[in-house]
Amino acid sequence: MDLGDPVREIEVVPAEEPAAVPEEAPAEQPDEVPA
Amino acid sequence: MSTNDFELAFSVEEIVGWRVWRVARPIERRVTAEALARELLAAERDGRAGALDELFLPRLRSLTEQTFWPPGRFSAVCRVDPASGHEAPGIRCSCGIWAFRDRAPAEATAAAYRHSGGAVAYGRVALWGRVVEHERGWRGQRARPLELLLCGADDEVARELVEAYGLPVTLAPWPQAEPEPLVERR
Repeated sequence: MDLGDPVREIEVVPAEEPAAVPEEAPAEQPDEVPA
Repeated sequence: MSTNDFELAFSVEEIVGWRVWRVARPIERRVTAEALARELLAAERDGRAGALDELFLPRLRSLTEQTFWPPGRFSAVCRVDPASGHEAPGIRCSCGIWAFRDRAPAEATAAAYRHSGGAVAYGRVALWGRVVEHERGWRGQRARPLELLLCGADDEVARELVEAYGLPVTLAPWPQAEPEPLVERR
């Protein structure tokens, strides 16, 4: 998986914030595809 | 290029991309019996009924992490460089919730897992909060899946995902991996 180089940063604030779920989960590492 | 060299934009529209998940049961995680027992004790203490049953239900899981997506929204924190204390996604980090701009690379990624021995889901995902835009996709701070195409699973798994996440789930054949381009050899 390769997203290419970063281009810009966007602050996305939807008009209606989707319902919150209390759990916080860790970020993902870059995906690796099995051989 | 420093962080300050990046353009900062604002949007009230969620960004919609494509991504891939494994479909697995939390009981399949590689955790010790002690860790599992502590988890269940904590659930009992917090009054979370059904924690034991949920271990055996199919859920969306990161392709590379043992992280399961809860119903509703998923929020990322950086585990790549936790000492830095930056919020996910860091512009110079690889943390955050990854999504492709186009469907094709998501299908190619799903196809690569065809022989992994488990089910895979791919589909559209909405991103919001802090989002780092890349040439071929995004890394977001918050996300929720919008619809899923489920490969390598049956009706029962599809039904359980619909119940858990409340979104459309369609059983689909494994996507075809793009053939390698022919290279003329001289």
